Amino acid sequence: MVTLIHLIYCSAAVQPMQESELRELLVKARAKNARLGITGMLLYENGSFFQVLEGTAVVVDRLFDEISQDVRHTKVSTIIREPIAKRAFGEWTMGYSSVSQQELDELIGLNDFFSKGSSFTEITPGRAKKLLAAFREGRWRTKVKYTLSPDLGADAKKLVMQPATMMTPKVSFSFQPVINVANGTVKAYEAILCGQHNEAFPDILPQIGDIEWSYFDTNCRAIAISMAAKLGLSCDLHLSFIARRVEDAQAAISASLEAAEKNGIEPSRIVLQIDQDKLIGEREQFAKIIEEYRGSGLRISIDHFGSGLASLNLLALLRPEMISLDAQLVQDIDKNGPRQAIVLGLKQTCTDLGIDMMAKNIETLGEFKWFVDEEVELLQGNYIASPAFEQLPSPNIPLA
Amino acid sequence: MVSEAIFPDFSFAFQPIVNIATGSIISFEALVRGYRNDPASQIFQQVEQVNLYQFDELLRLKAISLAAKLGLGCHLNLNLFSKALLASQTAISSTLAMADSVGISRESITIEVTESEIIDDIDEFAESINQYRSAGIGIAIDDFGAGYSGLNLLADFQPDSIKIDMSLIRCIDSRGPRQAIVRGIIRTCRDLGIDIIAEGVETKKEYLWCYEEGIELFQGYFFAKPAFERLPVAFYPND
Ligand SMILES: Cc1cc2nc3c(=O)[nH]c(=O)nc-3n(C[C@H](O)[C@H](O)[C@H](O)COP(=O)(O)O)c2cc1C
Repeated sequence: MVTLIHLIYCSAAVQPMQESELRELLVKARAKNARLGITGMLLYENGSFFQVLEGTAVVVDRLFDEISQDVRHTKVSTIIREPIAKRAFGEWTMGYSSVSQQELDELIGLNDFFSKGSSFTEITPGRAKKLLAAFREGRWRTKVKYTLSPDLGADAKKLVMQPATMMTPKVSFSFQPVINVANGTVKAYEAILCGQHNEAFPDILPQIGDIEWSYFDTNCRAIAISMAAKLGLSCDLHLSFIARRVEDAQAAISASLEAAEKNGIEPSRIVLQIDQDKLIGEREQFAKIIEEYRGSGLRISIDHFGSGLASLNLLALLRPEMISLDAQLVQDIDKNGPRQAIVLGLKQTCTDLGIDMMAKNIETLGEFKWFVDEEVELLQGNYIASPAFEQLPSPNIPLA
Repeated sequence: MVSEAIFPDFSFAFQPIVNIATGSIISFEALVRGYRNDPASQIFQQVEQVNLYQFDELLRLKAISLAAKLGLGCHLNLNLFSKALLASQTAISSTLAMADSVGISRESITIEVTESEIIDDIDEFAESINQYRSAGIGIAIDDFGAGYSGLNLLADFQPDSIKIDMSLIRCIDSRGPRQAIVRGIIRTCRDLGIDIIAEGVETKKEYLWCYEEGIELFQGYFFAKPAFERLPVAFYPND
């Protein structure tokens, strides 16, 4: 299953850090941590660093490897690396500081989050907190003797940096059922991202800043999962996977698994829908990442199959559990010969490979009937039921 | 047209496409070679990007006249950079004029374009190529199933034939996923009346698998290697 860990280390800056350097480090680290689904905090005081990193084991370990090799610091000592039951620095939001408001005001790297008044005492009790307290009391200060006389004015006296930012995403979800016409059941719900007031996602997109986007990209599925669980989901859940970069896929998958576990949904009930157009050129890399998560039971669906760049080879490479046909193929299929021929060819390939085929965007009775007649069993679309905001709607049509 | 002098010397090898059901050669594909049978890649290296389309056009003219000289008695498959078609008015009309002048019927010319090249602007491509289809030429999609495209290409454009890429054919007799993919292709093409050619067939096992799935048209070393400036005979495994 997903192993959450925290890794706490200390290190020494190779030379006194200038304010601007710290700021640069802070900005980069926050953005990347948000993308990777890593929470925690970083303290800097007089040449000593102390950092808590929390997240999925593979992701934390990989980042720590990278950080260890950073030439800006040395004497990197791992204080502890251990599994944790939950994150101390937030449930998808984060941020606490260890110093008083007055001290905070003097700090470099001050961000809006500090001014919200969160304080050290709000950190969930646990080892991270104890170690932070120890650091405050003067332990774990690793230093190098600077050969240059340190410019104390420039060296931040004390710095608390929050590697990730608190964000309350202004998003929500609608849900649309997927039915299985063979046995007359609701097979799954697809969670469709929308605004807090049910705005279409493209309309709220411009409001999401870059850092927020990364955070959101990694974590929005977790929001969908917990919402679906609260609504009493008893079937599968289909989630779009929008990772913009393959390297973030791992973090996004981990975050989904973590959320599923927390909400008591077995990973095998979750289907990640991958938009194959976004994978071009990185398909091998992506295939490897998926492979790592196969054991968890999580399933993969390739979405928009049969659109511009779809390829049958992708089926052999990614071995998804499911594909869903592109809307263009579905539209008016009952009247369009080439589309019928293509869908039947795809169906042949999928049957041979043990891949489920699903048709989305069914808008008309004609389309619906064509798929039923051709024994395509998993169907979704406004003809069956439109997406409902923060609800799990029932199909409009009687299920056999 | 740019002076031919700027282009490297070249010639052609011909490789047959066979119909197993009738035991005959239905076409020869003209494959560009250096004048001493050097590989095609070497030739293209010597052509500047800006002249590529003119070169492409010139290749077809020379291939037709050489094939006619060698006594072509079947179809002739010629390659086309699909971008050339959009860039030059004469890309195909010159090919047709040459066919006329050497006494090869237009109906026996098949133009091959690769899947990956046409997928980006399939609508534009379909529109311009369809003009020439009324003149009688056939269209084949080469390397089918190799790239990012696939069956969906056939929603907007139905060629006369497709050539299943050799990467799918290689060891198909023992590779389940490739078999599943090719069966899907066969199903769709049959429904749309598109001929299927298995390309790059090298072994008897590959051939037999395809044959048992109902493929009748083949090209590959197993039947005949490309022959330099010759129209070679083919081997028919069923004889
Ligand atoms: C003390 C210290 C702490 C760091 N903490 C983080 C961190 O939490 N997250 C992070 O992404 N990078 C952190 N970095 C920077 C990394 O070492 C590295 O520069 C960064 O991950 C490179 O990211 P990129 O190459 O993907 O842009 C830290 C560096 C130092 C010196």
